[in-house]
Amino acid sequence: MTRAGGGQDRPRRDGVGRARPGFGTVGLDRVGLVPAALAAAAFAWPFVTFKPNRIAAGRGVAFWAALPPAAAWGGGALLLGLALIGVLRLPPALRLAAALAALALLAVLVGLAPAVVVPPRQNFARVSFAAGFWLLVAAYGTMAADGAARLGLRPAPRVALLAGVLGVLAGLLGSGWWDGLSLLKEYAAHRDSFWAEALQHVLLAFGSLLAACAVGLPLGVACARAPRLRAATLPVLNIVQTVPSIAMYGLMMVPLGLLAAAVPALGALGIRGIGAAPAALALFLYALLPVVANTALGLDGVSPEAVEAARAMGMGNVRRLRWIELPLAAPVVLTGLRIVLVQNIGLVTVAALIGGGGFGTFVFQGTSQAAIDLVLLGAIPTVVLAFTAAVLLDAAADALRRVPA
Amino acid sequence: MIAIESVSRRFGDTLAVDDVSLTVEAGSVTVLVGTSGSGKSTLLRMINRLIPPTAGTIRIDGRDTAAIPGEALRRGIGYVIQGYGLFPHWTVARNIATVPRLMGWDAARIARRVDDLLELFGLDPALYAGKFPHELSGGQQQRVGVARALAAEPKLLLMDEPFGALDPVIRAKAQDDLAALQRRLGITVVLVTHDMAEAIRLGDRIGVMDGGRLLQYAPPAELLSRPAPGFAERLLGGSDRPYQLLSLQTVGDVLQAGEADAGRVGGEGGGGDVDPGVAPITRHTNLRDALAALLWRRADSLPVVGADGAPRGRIALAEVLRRAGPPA
Repeated sequence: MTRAGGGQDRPRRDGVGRARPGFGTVGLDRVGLVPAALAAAAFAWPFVTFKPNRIAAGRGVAFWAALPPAAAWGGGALLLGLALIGVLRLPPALRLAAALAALALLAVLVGLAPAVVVPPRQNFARVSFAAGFWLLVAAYGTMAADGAARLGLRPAPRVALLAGVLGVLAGLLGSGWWDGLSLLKEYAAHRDSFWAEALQHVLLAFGSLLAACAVGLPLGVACARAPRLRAATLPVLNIVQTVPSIAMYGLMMVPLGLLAAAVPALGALGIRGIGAAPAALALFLYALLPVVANTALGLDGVSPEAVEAARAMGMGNVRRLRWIELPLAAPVVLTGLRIVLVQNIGLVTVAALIGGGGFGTFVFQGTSQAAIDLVLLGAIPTVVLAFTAAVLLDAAADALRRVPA
Repeated sequence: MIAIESVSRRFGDTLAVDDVSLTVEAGSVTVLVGTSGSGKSTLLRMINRLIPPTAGTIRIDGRDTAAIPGEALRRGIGYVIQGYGLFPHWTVARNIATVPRLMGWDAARIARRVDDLLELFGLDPALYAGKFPHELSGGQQQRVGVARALAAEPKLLLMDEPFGALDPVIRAKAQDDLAALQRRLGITVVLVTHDMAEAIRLGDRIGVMDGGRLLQYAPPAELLSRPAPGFAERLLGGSDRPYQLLSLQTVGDVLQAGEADAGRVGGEGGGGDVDPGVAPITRHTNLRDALAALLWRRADSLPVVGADGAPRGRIALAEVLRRAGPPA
């Protein structure tokens, strides 16, 4: 994470009374103005959409009309008040806490909407998130990210924070508070396949990463040692990387289809032109470049003095690699793995097109049925998964940088 | 003893080292001095075969180094480079333990050896064993670098600009420490530097290199009084030579009986450094420092005292001046 500039804790040299943080003399935070303005504007947009049935056209419902009056006025005031904290030059921890509190409050409030919006005995009616809700999520999400970045948290607290947020989310989903919302109705309708597709999604993303490591790490080491191999390998992997994912899945179908036809035993193992096999192969190819390039780059960055000293003390090639070079290159290699994992989690979604499974299944089903909440059932878990993977691997890379093993 | 016999090293079209022969006596300090690109570092790296020679042989204690597997050869030879090359992800203790671990010593013996070395280099094991290199000062890193090179008790220590990254005050101390350590352990040291003063200060013999060739190989006094014409002479510099020559001789060489006619003995004891106004002169003071004291006090002669402060005789300015030039 990077620290954002223009922090509130930097005393201004030109100001007089506004220079120091403290009540009565608190200045404005220019970065904080953007999400606050966004949050304020969000109230002008519909908060939720009401639809008489799953695929009927919807009608937007404003924040004030979507909630019980007490919750609307109290919650609205609280949300705006929390946004105000982001506008003022206050400590980043406070800003982060305010943003997270606002997100939690928003999650609770939206759960109240179905009971208000849906007339009695309309069993097929649906209530979905609308633009106003998404704008509020974006505003407070930005504010939280900004606060966390300025706080410059160490890896362990960062992971703890992530775990806390995911825990709250899981608690909310488990409690049934959101069950009246259309998204959760789609979940209820697809409960069985949801977890199977989730498992498939994770297996494809991690499996292709592991395969890419098994091939890419040795190849990266070889590239760092042999400039000629590197000059030949990296451009090829670069070109692979530029093939659009849909085209890549299509390209994989032909050779694997022919292979399965030629060797029926492979077909029996599930290696066919469509399904998980071409998806895994395509993801593996996409993953190779970041793994190989970052391994070679990480090894380049190892101090030449350390390498020479290792050689001069009689360490052989393998020992030197294991004891000195790989540990010192690890943060850069891990950054490569982070890129691969986040990229793969996203790309798996497209693999559903060729029957690869994963959360993309819901996205494409939802698209064909014009059921936007089914699309979200596939998209939101994908985003959460990618975000979680990014935070965890970033924390791991940072931990390696800060505390040498 | 190291015997370097007609050794050359070619990199592509350039001849980095050109037919060099020299012998390094066991237990001595040999300094290779020259400008960058002179081939001195390449010659050093050929001794432990980090760079194998393209021609010639190098024998250590009579054994051709080409006949010994490279890794085994290097584990038996200490090596220190400029910047030290400490492993940044390992603690001081682990760094020092590198070669013993490679040689398969048992853990208890390694731990004992690491503690002994830290003590020897004036670093409290309780305080420093667990620190990482980036937590040390430059001087401490340098000492850890040397400690690591000596961990497996090698008889030969190769050093490439080992003091290059230190500021002048710490450098002088580190040079003295190395000289004392070398005498105490009786090891053979081959050291590469571009600094002629350092070479004169440390070397029993000095090899002057330029363009891959060994121009002169002689003890410092001989080098100063009879430098080979051309490059070696230029490298020595003109105006410093009398002082360099004096720094190689001690008061003991010119001690006269009798009382000094002027000047007062300064403070008691003291470590021989450096303030020419107050430091007492003993038989171990070098003539360069003695000259400075004579000039500073405007004296024709000064008393020489023993370690106990009792008078031992005198030193005369005229006698010191006579020693500042080459023998007539």
